[in-house]
Amino acid sequence: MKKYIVDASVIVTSFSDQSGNVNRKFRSLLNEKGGQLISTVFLDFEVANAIRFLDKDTLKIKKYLDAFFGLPIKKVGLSAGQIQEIVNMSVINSTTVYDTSYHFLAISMDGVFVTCDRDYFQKSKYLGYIEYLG
Amino acid sequence: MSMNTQRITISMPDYLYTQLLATVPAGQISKFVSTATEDKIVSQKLTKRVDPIEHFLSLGGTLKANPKQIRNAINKGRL
Repeated sequence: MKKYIVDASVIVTSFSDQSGNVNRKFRSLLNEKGGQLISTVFLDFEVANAIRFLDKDTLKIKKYLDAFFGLPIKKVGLSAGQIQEIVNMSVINSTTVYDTSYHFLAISMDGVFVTCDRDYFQKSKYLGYIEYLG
Repeated sequence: MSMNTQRITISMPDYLYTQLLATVPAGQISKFVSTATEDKIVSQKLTKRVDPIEHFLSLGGTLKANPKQIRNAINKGRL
């Protein structure tokens, strides 16, 4: 079973995607037979916070969050030991612990971290296990 | 509308029960719980009719934000 680890940038970019390019790629991941979408327990807060700062209409925010929470994404917690590893990785890459946690999951689960965060992708693509969705 | 009823025993967290007693007049708790249950069931029935993936993707392009703004909004939540 192929595992795809998604971050908040993918979710929020899907909502803002005018060209449809990101959504086409994300749709194929969502519908991939045997594929599994995974993220960290931080995802819900990150998406909620991002949308909260991008739109002030609480009814629209609710609509976005309802749609997001309906997605079949498995959220996993991280142990103290894993967080320590993530911190080490983030120091080496000059990235945040949050961004790195998604990538760490992909590496540890032998999956692929899909992101729309170009900065993070450019800094960390040498590690592999990562795909830029656009 | 007259209909048959069932007497049931339910459990809920203490904090919720306390608020229920404070919110609903005595003698109306059954009606309150029945109405809330019906609302929830109808809501779930309506939600299940929509494919969650298609529903999510149908909102594509409706949020006005560019990649930089999205990046900033995500980071802002982390402060």
